[in-house]
Amino acid sequence: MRLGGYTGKNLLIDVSKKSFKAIDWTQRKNDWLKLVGGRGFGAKIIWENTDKNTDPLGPDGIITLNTGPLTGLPIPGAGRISLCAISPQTGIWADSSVGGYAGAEIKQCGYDSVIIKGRSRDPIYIHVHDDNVDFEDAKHLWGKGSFETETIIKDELNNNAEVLTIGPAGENLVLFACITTGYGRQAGRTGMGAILGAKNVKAIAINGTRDVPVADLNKVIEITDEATQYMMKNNPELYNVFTRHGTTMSLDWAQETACLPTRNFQENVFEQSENINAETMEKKIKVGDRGCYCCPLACGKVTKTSINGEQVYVEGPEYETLALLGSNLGLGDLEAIAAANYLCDYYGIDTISTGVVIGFAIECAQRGLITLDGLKAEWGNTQTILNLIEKIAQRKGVGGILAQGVKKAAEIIGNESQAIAMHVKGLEQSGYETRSTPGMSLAYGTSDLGAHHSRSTIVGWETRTDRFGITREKVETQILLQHQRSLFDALGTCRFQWCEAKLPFEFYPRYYTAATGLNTGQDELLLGAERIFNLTRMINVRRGITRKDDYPPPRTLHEPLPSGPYKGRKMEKEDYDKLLDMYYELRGWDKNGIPTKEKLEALELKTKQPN
Amino acid sequence: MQTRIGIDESRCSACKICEIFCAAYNTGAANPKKAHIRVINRLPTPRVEFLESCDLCESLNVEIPICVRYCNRNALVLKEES
Repeated sequence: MRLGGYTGKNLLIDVSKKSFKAIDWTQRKNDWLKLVGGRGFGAKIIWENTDKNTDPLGPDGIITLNTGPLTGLPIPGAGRISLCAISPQTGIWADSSVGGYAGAEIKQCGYDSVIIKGRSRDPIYIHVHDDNVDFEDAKHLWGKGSFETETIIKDELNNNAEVLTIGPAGENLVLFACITTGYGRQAGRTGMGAILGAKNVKAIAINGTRDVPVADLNKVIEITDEATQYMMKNNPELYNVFTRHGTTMSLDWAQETACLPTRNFQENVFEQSENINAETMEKKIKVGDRGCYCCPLACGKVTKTSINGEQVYVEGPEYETLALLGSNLGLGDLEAIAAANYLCDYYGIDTISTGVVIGFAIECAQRGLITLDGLKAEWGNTQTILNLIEKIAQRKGVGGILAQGVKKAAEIIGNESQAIAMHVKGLEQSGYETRSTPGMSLAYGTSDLGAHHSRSTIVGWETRTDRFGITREKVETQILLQHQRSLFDALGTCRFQWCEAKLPFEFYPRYYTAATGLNTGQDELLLGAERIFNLTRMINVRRGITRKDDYPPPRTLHEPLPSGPYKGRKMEKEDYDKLLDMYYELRGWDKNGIPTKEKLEALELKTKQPN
Repeated sequence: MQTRIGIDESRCSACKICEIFCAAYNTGAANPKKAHIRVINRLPTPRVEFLESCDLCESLNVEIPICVRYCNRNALVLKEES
């Protein structure tokens, strides 16, 4: 078998000089393969090309698009890429994994990773096509929404490209601006859109025509046939429910288990949850399904709603959007949530952070800490919510403060606002309230991005087993999940086939071998994931992160739940410290959360910064 | 009787599974650009087109064309017409 899966080359684009070059990484093959690919390659690039002072919005800031060794192959969900950078919102490590169809195009151009640096003087879009890169004028696109921009570029290129684009919010450097691709797939978190905006890059269009390298294509297809049969036959109910509803099916679950963020995370049960659940969505607004590249699950749900009387379509809302723009804002109107989703996508801002920011703003206004430029500070007020989205995206009025995220906004507003700002490390908390789930509190506290769920959604395991336990088993499970889930981002494939459709994890080492020809087993791949987790921790340590930053938000630690089945509970600080101590010990990090020299050596991580 | 593939775009999820497996079986490459079918993702409904080069997988000697076999959404259906 020949080496497949990888192309062996990265593409470096300098938008200041309008130049580009291919970089062959196979001379240092072992260094790269140890990090598997995808997010791992991104971590290596960010470690080697930034330092503790790099300004992510300056010309030295870089953003990387990283495929994995499975990206582009006939494997369910294998279209994913990880965008990696230093976050303009949090100032630390950032990655955002996105589906859609652009990943295969990068591979087909002949690259594993694309690195963009510099700052263009005028608005441009980058057109990568096989060996060439063109820098196209984008003045006609500046100010346009994501959907329109994608269509215009596709029309200009005769539909021969996939497009990643920012909306007006990215141009305006909103710190949680996202990058959109495929009309509704977002690299949502950590402000990737602001980085492109600061570079004056409106979009990246990619068109590759080469074969995706693969060691044994027949074997890959054989495993896919087996995997598809497995998902459909072994868990037909789960398969059918997930393909029908996507992640929206989690809404009822979050409500029943009392984890659903409600009114800026004050509560965890929403009295109108039935109005915004999967069944209501199907009945009221769903018109179709969307699947990313090579995915039979089609978790994306296309819905119909209206903005100012005009009918619009949007892919979503998915669970996180229902939770953060719905229950978290006390909004029980699905059409209004879909409209808010549409506006966020149009302007290019993350629906999770936006929901948390608006919840924070409404609560601050109710406490008399700010005013909302004449808008009513009421939960569930559609007009307030839609107007605030526009103000944030355009940085107008109170939106100028909110566009910086809740951490910085609370620093500006002062008083007790910091006590109600729901974030970890400056990133807004995603869709689980955690005062009655200590494991999930730890998941948010120890995620390398800040309060994001994708590193370890241990809340599912925890609520099934030992909900309130402060146990070693819980921490061990947490670490295993952080590695397993990291591995999907490294391989360049979606995790939903595994965690939602219950495809056994063992399929993935088989895929890796069939794709690459390398006999790397499961343990070695998970070791790669551990390496990635330690490397991103070292990037964060270099940027000043220590134990003090690994705690859940003040509300979780200090404010007992006012209602619901777990009324009176909070995340006790003493219990949290026990979990954190166990976590550091099991990870081989010191009491302050710094990976020890021994640990880094055992992982063969060369974390001494190169000259 | 003539066989053709019927397209129901309203059922299509734009996943490109048809493109990916068409190309893999018919050309031996992991390269959807070599497929005889093309999916263009647009909201709310994708567009699906067959290229003139499609021979309904006759050269593969299979009962059901590959794209129809792999489409799990019944967006592509084999039809007999007189």
